[in-house]
This record gives sequence, structure tokens and C-alpha cells, in this order.
Amino acid sequence: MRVLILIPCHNESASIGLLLDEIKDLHQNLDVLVINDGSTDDSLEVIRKRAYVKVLNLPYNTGIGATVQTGFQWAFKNDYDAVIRLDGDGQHPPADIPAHLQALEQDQADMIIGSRFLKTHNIGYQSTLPRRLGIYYLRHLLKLLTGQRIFDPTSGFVSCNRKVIRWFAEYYPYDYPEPEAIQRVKQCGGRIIEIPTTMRKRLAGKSKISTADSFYYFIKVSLALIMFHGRKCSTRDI
Amino acid sequence: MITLKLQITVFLAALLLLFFVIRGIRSGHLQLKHALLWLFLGLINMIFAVFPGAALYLTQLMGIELPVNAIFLTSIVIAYLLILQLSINSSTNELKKRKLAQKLTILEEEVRDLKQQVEKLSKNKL
Repeated sequence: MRVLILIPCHNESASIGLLLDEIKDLHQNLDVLVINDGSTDDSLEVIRKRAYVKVLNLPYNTGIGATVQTGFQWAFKNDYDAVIRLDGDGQHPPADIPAHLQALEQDQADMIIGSRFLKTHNIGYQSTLPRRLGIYYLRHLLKLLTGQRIFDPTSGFVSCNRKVIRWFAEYYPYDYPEPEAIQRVKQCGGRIIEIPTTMRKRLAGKSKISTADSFYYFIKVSLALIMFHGRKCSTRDI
Repeated sequence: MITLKLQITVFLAALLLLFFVIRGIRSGHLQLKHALLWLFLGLINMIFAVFPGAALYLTQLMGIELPVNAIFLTSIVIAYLLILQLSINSSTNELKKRKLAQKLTILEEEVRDLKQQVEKLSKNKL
């Protein structure tokens, strides 16, 4: 099975190098792809120093959704069987990658979400209270709309098999895409499971989501989920 | 009633608008397909100015008291349509731009990869 580690990166020069080294230290012989989303710091140099890493360099800051989608398009074009996506800020511990690999190899689901809120496993970094409330709300909204309870619907630690790679290469939601991506997989008839993960505080830098953004996030994600409810597995992007 | 002064004002405003729109089309700065609603807006106001009876008829039809309000309302509705058209345009343009960026990025990586392979090959031959 050819597996690609996919990491979106926008101004993460302080953490991305460390993260890439950690992945290399796993000795899993995994292909690693970083998509640099118009970073204005020296992220690109930090990544390019590591010869084992493939780099896609977007010409301007396109946002997380378009960045991740570019990675899925590349993975699809290069015939990867599976993708494991991690955030560039180091919140997602590479130590949990083998668990994702195992779930993929055993074909436990089409999409596997690394969740920090599984009942048996509420340890590690749990995010701030307002965000946990937001996640709680999204969990129930998604349950209502898709019928499946996802404990950590905003997790960016997600792995997918080739079926889902294709769906995402064709269409991937744009800003704050994770809950909508779950909805899309359900609309396409994909199977989703969650496995526990212990998230860390970001290694360095600041979160990109401010309080004002959170409000926009709340409205935008709710509206998007409701508006796109019942939509078929569309392949049309524009 | 519509006063003669209002008639003249609306006429001049519509004339000015049409002048700029037509000039834009002829110079190629404004595509005809995006200019249609603008032309319509200018023409409607022109008709109201030249034939006040049309505005009066519309006023009664919509149950509005003052003809001038009917003229305003018609213009505002067309203006809203124009703005909506612009929003749709800007959304599709953003998506198209993003697609281009994604394609470009993947192609760039492929070219880089090919270049390295060619270099390797030519070194081996030497």
C-alpha cells in the first residue's frame, strides 16, 4: 500500500521542521508531501532542506481547503492508495500515524479521523472551552444531518483511502472545511470511523482562528452544512 | 404627477449613464454581456423621463403614491440584480483562480521532478 503523509503549511517555520523530523524518525518509509500555502516566513526553506519531503508551492495564500485539496489532487494523480493528513503546527503527534496505517491496511473505514474526544481517551490537549462548546454543537448538528456521531468533527488529523482521495480531489470545501468534508464523505456513501489520538498544544506560533473568526466559523459552518444537506456526491467544482 | 423638472433630471441622469456604459462597451473595457443590465437600467429611466405616463401607470399598478418612488423602486431592483450578478461573478472568478493556482502548483512540481530526472540521466551518460 502506497501511503502519503499530507501536510498543509502556512507560516509554520517554527514547527514544521520538527514535525518533519519526527515523521522521519518513525522509520515507516512513508512519502511525505508538504503543500506550502503562500507562506511569508521561511517555511519553504525549512521544508526544502529535507530532501525526503516532496513540496508543492502554491503561488498565493489560497486557504486551508484549497491547500489540502491540492494535496489530494496530487495524491490522486500519483496513484497513492491512502493519504494521512496532519496539521503543520505539530498538534497531531506522528506517533499516532501507525494506528492510522493499521486502520487503513485493515480497511476498517474509508476515512479515519484522529479524535481527541473519544470517551475512553479524553486525555491530551482538549482545546479551549469555547471551542469545545463549538465542537459539541457541531457534533450534534452533524449527527442530525448525517446520522453519524463524530466526536471530533473539526479534527484535521484524518486519513483516507483511494476512494475518498478521489472525492476530495474532485471537490473539497473551502474555508474551515473539516465538518463539511465529513458531510461530503457521508453523502458519497463512505464509511467513517474515529480512532483516539492525543493532541498536543501547537509546537510554536499562534492559532490562526481569533474570536471574531470563531463567530464567522460558527455561522459559516452551520449554514454550509444545512445548505448542502441532501446534496448528492457531486463532482462538480465550479 | 411628474414635474417637468424631474423629467429633465431623470432624462439627464439616464443619458449620462448610457453615455458611460456605451463608451465602456465600445472601448472594450466593459463586456456586452455584463453591460446588459446597465443598458436596461438606463433605458427604463429614459422611458420614464420621456413618457411620464409609463411611470404613472406603474405607480398605480404597484399601489405607490408618488410616481418618483416607482422610478426609484424600479432602479433599485435593477441595481440589486446588478450587484447579485457581480457577487456571482466574483465567486466564480475566485474559484477559477484557485483552480488555476492548484493546476499550476502541481505542474510546477512535475516540471521540477522531470528536470531532476533529466539531469541525473545526462550525468550518467557523461
